[in-house]
Amino acid sequence: MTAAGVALLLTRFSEAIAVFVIGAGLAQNLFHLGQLGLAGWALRRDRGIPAASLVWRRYAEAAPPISLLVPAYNEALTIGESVRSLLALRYPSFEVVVVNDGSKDGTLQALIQAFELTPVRRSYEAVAPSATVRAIYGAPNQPRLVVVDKANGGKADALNAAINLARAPIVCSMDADSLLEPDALLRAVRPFMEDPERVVAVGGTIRIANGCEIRHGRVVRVGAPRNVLALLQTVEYLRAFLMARIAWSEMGSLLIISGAFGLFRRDAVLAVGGYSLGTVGEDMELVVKLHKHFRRAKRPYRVVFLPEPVCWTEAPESLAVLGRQRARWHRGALETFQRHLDMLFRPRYGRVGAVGFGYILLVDVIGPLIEIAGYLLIPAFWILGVLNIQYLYAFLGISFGFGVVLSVGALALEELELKRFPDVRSLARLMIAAIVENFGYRQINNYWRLRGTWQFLAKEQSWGAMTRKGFAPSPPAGSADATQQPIGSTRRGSADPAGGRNEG
Amino acid sequence: MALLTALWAGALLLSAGAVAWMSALMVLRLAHHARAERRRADRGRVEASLVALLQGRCDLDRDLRPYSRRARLMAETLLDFLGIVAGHDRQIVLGALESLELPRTLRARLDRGSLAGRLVSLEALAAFPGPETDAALRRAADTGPPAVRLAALKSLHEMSRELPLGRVLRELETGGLRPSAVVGELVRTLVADAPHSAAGELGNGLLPEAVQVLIIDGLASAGDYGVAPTLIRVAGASPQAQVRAAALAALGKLMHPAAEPAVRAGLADPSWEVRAAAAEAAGSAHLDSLAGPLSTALADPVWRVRFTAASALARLGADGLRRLREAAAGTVPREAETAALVLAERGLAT
Repeated sequence: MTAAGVALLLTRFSEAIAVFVIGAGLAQNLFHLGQLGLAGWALRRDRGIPAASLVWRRYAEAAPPISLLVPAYNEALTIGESVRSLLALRYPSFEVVVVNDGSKDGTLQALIQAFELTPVRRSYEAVAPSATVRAIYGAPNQPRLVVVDKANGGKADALNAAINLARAPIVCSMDADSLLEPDALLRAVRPFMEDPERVVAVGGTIRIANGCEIRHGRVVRVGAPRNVLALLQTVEYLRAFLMARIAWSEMGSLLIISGAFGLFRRDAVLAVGGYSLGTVGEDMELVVKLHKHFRRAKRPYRVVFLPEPVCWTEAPESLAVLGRQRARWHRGALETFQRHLDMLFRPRYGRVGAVGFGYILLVDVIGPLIEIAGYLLIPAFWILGVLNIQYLYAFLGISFGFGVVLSVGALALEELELKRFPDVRSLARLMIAAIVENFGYRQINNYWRLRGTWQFLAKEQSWGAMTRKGFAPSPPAGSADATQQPIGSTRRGSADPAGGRNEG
Repeated sequence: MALLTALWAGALLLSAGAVAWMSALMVLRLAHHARAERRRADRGRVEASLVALLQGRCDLDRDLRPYSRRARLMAETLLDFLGIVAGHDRQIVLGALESLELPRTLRARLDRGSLAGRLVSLEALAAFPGPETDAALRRAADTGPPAVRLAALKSLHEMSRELPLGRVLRELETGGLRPSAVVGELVRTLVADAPHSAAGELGNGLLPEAVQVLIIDGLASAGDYGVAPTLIRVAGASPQAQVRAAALAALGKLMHPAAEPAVRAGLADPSWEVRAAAAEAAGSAHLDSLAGPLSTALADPVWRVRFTAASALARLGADGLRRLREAAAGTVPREAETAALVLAERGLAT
């Protein structure tokens, strides 16, 4: 082949690559724009969120009992206040099942002392797999509280133990260090009351508590974080929850309900065997299993996301911790995708298999590979002289343009329909963050996803260390940094906005 | 080159459009903030005026009339306020608001504005019974979307207006209302008002499963022994397991001894939900004669049935406890474990 022939071949190859990359990017951005529109429409349709007193008046009498499932690992410093805050929730009938997942820091002792716990016996059926339950405790003065002490087995394992022991028809999974708003349960349980036959799972919004004023386990004043990384994550969470989750829910393809705040019909969870062990994406995996179960059985069902019940969580403020968290989430998504690969594009799974799993394939599986190809091919094409730099810049420009629209759009939805942020100053900071995140932060995120892909391919199973500052304004000496997590730890750090999926 | 220019123009337009959108919202926020503050202050003033009204210090024209045309503000404030006053005080408040023609304002709000505003107006209207309110609520119940229909029906019921159960059931059948826990509450109260007519509706056997369960729940709450024969028949004859289970649960709540044969048959039902409901009913109704079948149920393959059977035995008194202790000391692991745990849960020695 002549040199001209090689050049022509190379040119055609680079053109084909360019068309594929541009096409895939455009399709993804248009899909996200569609999601933004759909989310806006849904928020508009359901606008006019009633006050807490009205919600109570309308729904309290018909509200079903709920078991709150609270896995705790090395939470000795904060567990007492966390549980007190949960026991003070406004809900007609609920129990709090705290699972001490083999903590090494005296979490169980802290609970025993705080609530004067005594050993009790409780009949239950171990349907969902979990490590050995060592003892069950009850509090004479707190009949709503049950504490389970078990061998360490990780968050999914602890949640399974709690589900086995729970006696309410609805279970609510959460993190011990997350803060539920007082009326969050009553707002979140609404779909179960309105459509009891079909609704099997409901997810609420996770918001970032960094920058908020917190007293006695309650967010008393909402604020935008001062830490840049937390500020960028706030925008990210808005995009993931107020845009992507609402849209996926409307499309009937919601594949993830955050482990930090999700309500499930207990019988449905037990029907799929509870949470799967041996994965770091157990929350996403559970929802996918529910879809699979009901689609296979050809039974009508709904997995719903609601923007208003809110759970607050602390976001990592260092790149190292955030990177570990994001890599883990991505690994979790890939693990779920691999476990349920048989759902991809299979007609029996409808939109879940076609759109939901198709999206994961495009964004989570192929996305990182395209990115690697881009890192290799762009310099190569440039060296070979087949790359038009002007067009490269222009396409990058339009890609950033879409990114800005999506991030600012999510913030605009929040401002149009929810108005949680107290002042214009907070909004201005968030708008700047929504623009800035496209220049560096999203690229770093892509690097973390690549790392997650590598960990998945290397079959790594660890959760990595999570370091927290904690909500308390002035923690006792020596406790400023929270615990380091061992393998199989129960705590996940902040609730995942994308749950391992890169939404929006 | 044109494409290049178009791409850059597109990028700039997208970014500028987004920033302009958000900037406009921030400007609007300033206005909204002021409006929200005004609304909060107005609500505070209305609440203070209502308190003053009860203390005889309120000038209606000066303190409340300026707000009496604001349906949603007044409705929300009123609903909260009525939650803390009763009797004569309630009459004073409602009388004063009627004199300000608030019911007319609320009625007018039923046909316009946001759904949230319409719902709260419907709920507040229940405090102002009268022919015009009645007509407005019935119109909303006939023509509105499901949420509005439900709120209107609840308000009609709250006003003690005649609301036939059949009307609600037809709405459920035609899709005007969806079977939900909230509708269930309404059905429950309507059934409690007229249990025999409800039993008649149940008797025709044509209602959807979910609706039958709602009616049976209502019959259980009604506490009328007259419906026991219907429940017994449904518990034995319904082809739907959920309906049989609901009927047995209702018989348990009624605590009628005539239910014994139905409960005994339920303990041998092929559906575990029905067996569990029968065990629960046996305990609730203290059917001592079923201690034997309950002891047998301790070996049921389904944990929920074993657990409810053991719990029921614990409620049957001396004979039940004796059987539980025997099972706990027995050699069949499944029976022994369930019996021992249920005894321990109740603080009873094995």
